[in-house]
Amino acid sequence: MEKANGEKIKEIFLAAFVLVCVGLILTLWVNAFSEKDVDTPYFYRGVPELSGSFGMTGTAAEQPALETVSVTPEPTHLQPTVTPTSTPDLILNFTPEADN
Amino acid sequence: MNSQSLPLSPKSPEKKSLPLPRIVLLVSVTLSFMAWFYGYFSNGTDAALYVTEVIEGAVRFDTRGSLFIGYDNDGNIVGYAATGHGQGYGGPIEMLVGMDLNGEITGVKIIEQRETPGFFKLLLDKDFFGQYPGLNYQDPLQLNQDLDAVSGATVSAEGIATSARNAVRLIAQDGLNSPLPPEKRPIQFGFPEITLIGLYAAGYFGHKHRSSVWKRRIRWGTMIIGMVVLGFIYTAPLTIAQIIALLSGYWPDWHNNLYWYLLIGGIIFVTTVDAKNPYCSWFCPFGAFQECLAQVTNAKNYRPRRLANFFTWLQRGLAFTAVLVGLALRKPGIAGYEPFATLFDFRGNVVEVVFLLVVTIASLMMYRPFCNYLCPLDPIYDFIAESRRWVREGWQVWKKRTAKK
Repeated sequence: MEKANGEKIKEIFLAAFVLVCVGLILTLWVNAFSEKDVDTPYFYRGVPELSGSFGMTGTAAEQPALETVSVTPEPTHLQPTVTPTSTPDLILNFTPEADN
Repeated sequence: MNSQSLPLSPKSPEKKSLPLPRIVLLVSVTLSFMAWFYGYFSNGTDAALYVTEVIEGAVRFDTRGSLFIGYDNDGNIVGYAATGHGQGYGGPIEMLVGMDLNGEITGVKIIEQRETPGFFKLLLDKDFFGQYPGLNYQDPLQLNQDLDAVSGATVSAEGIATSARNAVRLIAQDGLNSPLPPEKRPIQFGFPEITLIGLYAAGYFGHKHRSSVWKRRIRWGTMIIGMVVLGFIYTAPLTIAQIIALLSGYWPDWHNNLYWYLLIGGIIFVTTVDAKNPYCSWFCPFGAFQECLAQVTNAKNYRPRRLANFFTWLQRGLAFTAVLVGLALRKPGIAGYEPFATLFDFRGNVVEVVFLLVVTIASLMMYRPFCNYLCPLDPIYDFIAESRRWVREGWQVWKKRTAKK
């Protein structure tokens, strides 16, 4: 009786081990399949740049094109208009000392 | 490991109807072919999408044979680009290389790769690709010369370096009109290759040895050497990814992958010709690791008869799924689930570490639990053994028939 019970416990442990491992293997597969393809960045003149589609499935055609943008300065950036005011001349009365 | 306890073939060869294992064998071969064809015709990326990314100043491009020619806004040629191929761990790698008119690399981009995600991320983390821009077409472009190798992803790095060199050679010849001399390809034959041959030889003679004491000693010697050298030092055990790569036709250049051919070729040769598995019991690094743990606690083999059939087919199902997925996606590394790299290279995510821990604890309680219940390579041996039996039976039947005539 004891031997039969021991055998049953062993079987349960073995089945638990196998099922846990199968569960972990399935998790590994789910992770691997759901992981987005590692889209490699392109490297340009030594400066690594991540493409717009990094980490996503995409093509170069989807990336926004570079544009020339003309910028108009906002009013806040303008210097305030200053009306020049005359400053009174500084008149120095200077009397050179007589050189002895 | 378990094929002896549960033979695949029926005991009565006179039985005329096709037994279940052989039906399964036929179905699995058919499905594998279907997965291979699906993978072959459903994969591929167009390098042309990325040409302007790798040539500095190019806004459009034209092609001349395999060469891409980049033009600026005024229609002037500003550079060239070409793709090159190399062999990585999981299969071929295709790389696009852009170059200016002075022969300096302006940009690189991987177009296609089948590496295990962990290996590839390692290359990105170590900024392996960032080494290329600025190098000249006359530079060697070789690992450990002008390129720093990445420890833990050497095969992938070598595959990328090869693909870059091939692309540069094409640009130099067709674009710059300055062909490079033929590349020397020395045969890589070193310590791992010598060790492997030595292990095969020791296994062969050890197996034939009459003295069980010496047989046991030799076996322990080969297992320890296998675990230390092929496991912990070189992290080069046999994996299901290598079998899938073999089936996918991703055979690496033998000059610098002699080890790959010796390992896989040797095992298939011995299993097919001699019907013996020279690897698992003699020098599998992970098998040796489990066996060392079993020695600590004196753990015994445990395989209850009641569940044996179920576990055998579960193990085969896992292996077959891995092969089918690897073939269909043409990514040998994606479906592998062995915890080898986690143990020998100390690399892996949380799930992989937990998996290794569970197997390690189980190895203290029973003899080689991973080999007996989970390893995907065991069903591969069963497959080869069953095919061999079938061919031999067919050969004998044919011989009898021709003798009667």
